[in-house]
Amino acid sequence: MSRRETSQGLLGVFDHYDGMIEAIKNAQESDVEICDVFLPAGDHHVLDMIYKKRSPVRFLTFAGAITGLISGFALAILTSLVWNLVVGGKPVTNPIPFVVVGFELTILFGALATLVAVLIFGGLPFRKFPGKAYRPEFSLDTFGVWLSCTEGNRDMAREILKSADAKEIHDISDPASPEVQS
Amino acid sequence: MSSEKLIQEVLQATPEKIPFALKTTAITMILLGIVGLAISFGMGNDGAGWVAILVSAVMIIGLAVAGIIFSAIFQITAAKWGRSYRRLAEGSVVLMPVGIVLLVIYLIGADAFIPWAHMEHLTGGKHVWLVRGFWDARVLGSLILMYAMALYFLYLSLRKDFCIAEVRNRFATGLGAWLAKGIRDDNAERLRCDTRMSYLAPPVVIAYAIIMSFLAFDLIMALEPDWFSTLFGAWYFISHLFVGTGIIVTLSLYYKAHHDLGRFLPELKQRDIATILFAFCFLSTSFFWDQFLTIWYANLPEETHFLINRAQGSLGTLVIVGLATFFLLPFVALIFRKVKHSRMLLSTVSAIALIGIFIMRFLEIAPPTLSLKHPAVFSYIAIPLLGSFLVLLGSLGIGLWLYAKLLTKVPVMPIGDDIFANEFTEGNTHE
Amino acid sequence: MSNSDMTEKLGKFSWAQVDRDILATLSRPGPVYTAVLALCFILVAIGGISWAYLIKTGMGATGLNNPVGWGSFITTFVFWVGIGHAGTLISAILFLLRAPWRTAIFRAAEASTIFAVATAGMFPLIHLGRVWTAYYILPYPNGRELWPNFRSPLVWDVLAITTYLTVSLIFFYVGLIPDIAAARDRAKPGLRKTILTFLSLGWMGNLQQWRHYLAAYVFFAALATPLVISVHSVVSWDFAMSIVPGWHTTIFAPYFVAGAILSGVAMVLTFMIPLRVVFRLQHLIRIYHLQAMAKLLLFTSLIVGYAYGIELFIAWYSGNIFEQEIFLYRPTGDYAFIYWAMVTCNVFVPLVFFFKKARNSIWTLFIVSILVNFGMWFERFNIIVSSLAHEFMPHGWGLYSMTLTEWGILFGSFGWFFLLLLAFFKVLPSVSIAEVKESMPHPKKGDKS
Repeated sequence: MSRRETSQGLLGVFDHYDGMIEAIKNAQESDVEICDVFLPAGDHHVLDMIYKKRSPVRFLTFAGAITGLISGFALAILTSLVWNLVVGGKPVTNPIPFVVVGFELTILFGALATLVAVLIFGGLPFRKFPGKAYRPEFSLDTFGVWLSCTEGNRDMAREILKSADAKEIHDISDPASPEVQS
Repeated sequence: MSSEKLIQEVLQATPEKIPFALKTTAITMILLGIVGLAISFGMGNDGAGWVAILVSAVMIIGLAVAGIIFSAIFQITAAKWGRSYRRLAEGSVVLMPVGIVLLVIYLIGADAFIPWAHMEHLTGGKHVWLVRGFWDARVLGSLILMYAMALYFLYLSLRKDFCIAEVRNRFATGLGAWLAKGIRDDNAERLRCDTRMSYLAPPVVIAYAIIMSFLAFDLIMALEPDWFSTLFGAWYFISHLFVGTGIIVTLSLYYKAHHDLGRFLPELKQRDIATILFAFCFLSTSFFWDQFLTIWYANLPEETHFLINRAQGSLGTLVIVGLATFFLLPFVALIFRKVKHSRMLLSTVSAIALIGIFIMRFLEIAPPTLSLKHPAVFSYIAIPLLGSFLVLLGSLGIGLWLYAKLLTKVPVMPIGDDIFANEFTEGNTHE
Repeated sequence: MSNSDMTEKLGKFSWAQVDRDILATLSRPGPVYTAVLALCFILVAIGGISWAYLIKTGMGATGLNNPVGWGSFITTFVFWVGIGHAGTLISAILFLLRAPWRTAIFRAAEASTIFAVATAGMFPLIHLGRVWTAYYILPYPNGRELWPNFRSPLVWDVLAITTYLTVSLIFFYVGLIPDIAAARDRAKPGLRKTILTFLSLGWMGNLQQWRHYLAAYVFFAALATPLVISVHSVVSWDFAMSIVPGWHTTIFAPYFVAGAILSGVAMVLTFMIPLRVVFRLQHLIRIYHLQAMAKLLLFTSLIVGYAYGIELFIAWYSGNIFEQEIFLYRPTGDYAFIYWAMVTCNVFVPLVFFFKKARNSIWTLFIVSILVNFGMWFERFNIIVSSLAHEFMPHGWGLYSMTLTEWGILFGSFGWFFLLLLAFFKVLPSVSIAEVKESMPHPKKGDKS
């Protein structure tokens, strides 16, 4: 799923992991759309529940690494051809010493490409921070589950969060007034 | 302590007799080995037979202990993920008698083809170090010492399993009866074995590194007495750990598919051991490259002749093939998750790696033994190359038979290992 | 692995407690911290003055001469590059191996990598003498009609060190983002909060961010891992690519890499043992972590010992008179003290870690780590200086000894490294909040913060 800004929905705040998992599971079973989930620490289990495909970061990493490999050899070979420096009795453009150059640039460009990928795909820097739903306690020990809902399934969404033992439930369009407090 | 259910599960997965597929594969490999011997000694040029014997000997010697080294490393690091592979790795010890027999045959018969044995003036310490008699005793003695340590380590590992009554009942005769001898208090004995394994594991690994290095110097590097490389020993044993890992991977995939070991060897563990295979591929390649680059760059004739002799003609082509098979193909293939999760692809990668390291061993051994003049033409090396490969296959075939036989006499998973038992006993989470 | 196993080794704390304890290290410094910081400033000042004197006077202010053209500066350069390797090994390789003991210590180790490499990077400039010509080595179209010689190991070094510093920085910063966000959310409004907000890039820990972050982190670790092998291999090739006896040998690459990890782990132990006491992090950085590092130190010391032994054997075996001469000179010649100090500190002293009692003793861990640091500096000095002092032709043999200027710069480098490290401890979380939380059991119903 892709994150999108929406101006409505309910945010459930959980102080325990199991409640968050239950809320996600129930939302998926009830076809209530999950806008977002907030976690203080990375969790593969949650990500596997939400996403079917792997992150595309790997494609940019691979592309960066290949570019680096080619660039490394190209830099070494072309500069050797432009200004021949016959030293040590070695051929001017033997690939053997240039393997080191190619290797290092493979790693460098691969890492730079990965950095670009995580910034682009992760939407960083997120200029609209803190956004509609974020709360500072989400970086401490609290989890958030933001369900998108229309008037039609609002009650279902509220029920999902309540039955999962949410500590608080907020209306995203009016975050200052908690709708329900457990 | 293993739960009852776990014990039964492992005992049920342990085959009662040698699996038919493994038996036929082993027989085929042994027959090919006999053909290889006939080709090498009968049709090949002088020395081709001894090249075949030595290449197989040095490979089998290294592979025989590789599995025990794995088990020892698990013991030292208290690693949890790989316990399922422990028994499957330890089975490599069955190659020990094969390695010793090959080596003894070589020591007895190959005198005419050991270059330094007939050289009058050996420089440096070689005139003391490379003397028949002393050399033979050293080579055989160090190998026997290594094997003795490895076998004792294996004995302790197996005995832990036999501290379980159900295991003793299942394997009541022969090897099982010997392993269970004298066990009075199961828990105390298992703890005693585990403590001894913890003390023995570091010396086993240290002995492996030192003994294998000196065997590489004595058996391979000494064939060109005026050449040396300080990294040669480490390159030898790391490349064998690489091939050993590949063999463990292949056998574990077979047992997983045919003997109900899916729960013990899940996808994540398979990916882990494939990653270890990748790491050894990288390490082997870097040790090869470290030697090659250093010698190429300094361009000293006393060193470069080793490379030049092997860089031209059909030997040069063989170098390219070797690099492609032990480095390029496995390295590129193992980057992809799909390969790590595919039984067929992973087994193929392991086989290719074995071929690659075999080619490297052949390139190290064949030129001086056959007194090849460079550039070597393919017809001159074709028979030794084919013969060596077939003899290696035959030796591995004997090992495969013995391995499959061993895994009918002991549990196929190390149920006496507490870490393994904790991981798979119901109620515990596992990776 | 079972959770009960891990909580026994790593301890069990609430997530909120993890936050509190780690962010507490960012509070106002105490007297011990301030005293050490002042000492570091003094050392940096000494180093700076020495360097300024060197630039003004010229390279004659050092003991470098014919035949020893490389001395303490290259020794210290290789030493600091080596120190950096432990951080990358702990943060990248142990991440891929899913070693549980990594979580509490990798952040500080990673920081030490960056500061060590940054310190190391100064030494080629110091050694250059005419620092303002350093840009000659960079590959860009210029009016000199000259490109760098990519066949030279010195140019490989430039690429390797630059790559290592860049990748380590990226890995370090990206790994820090969730922790900076945690610090941002706990900070009071003001300049600190503004800076942390900027650095956190608007991190909210939502699905999109975690998904790509966790994937990228694996790739960073996978890319940094070969750097652990390659960077110090390239540094070793500065020597091995030559034909100098004692330098030109194939074992140098893995020998240097093992030595680098040895010195790096020793340095991590050296600063981590006081760190956990001064910042009261003993419950997070436990004896279990220190024991694991002691085992790693022992393992790499055995590899280094193997390399020492093999070099001696091959020198004897080969019959090469130059190899034999240098390996006789090192233990018996003018620098014999350095050689035996090296062997004692790097090979014999770490053997004590075969005993569990030694691995459990904080003082033993601390003393051994310092001795290994000494030993590894002596090793680089032994390799570089003794080989240059005693090359092929006897008429060309000569000696080298360090001048006050070189001592000043050496101590200055230590001051610089620890100054940066101390600053880091007070500015950013020195233990990874997010990953320690990941390794703890999740907050359950009924848990109280």
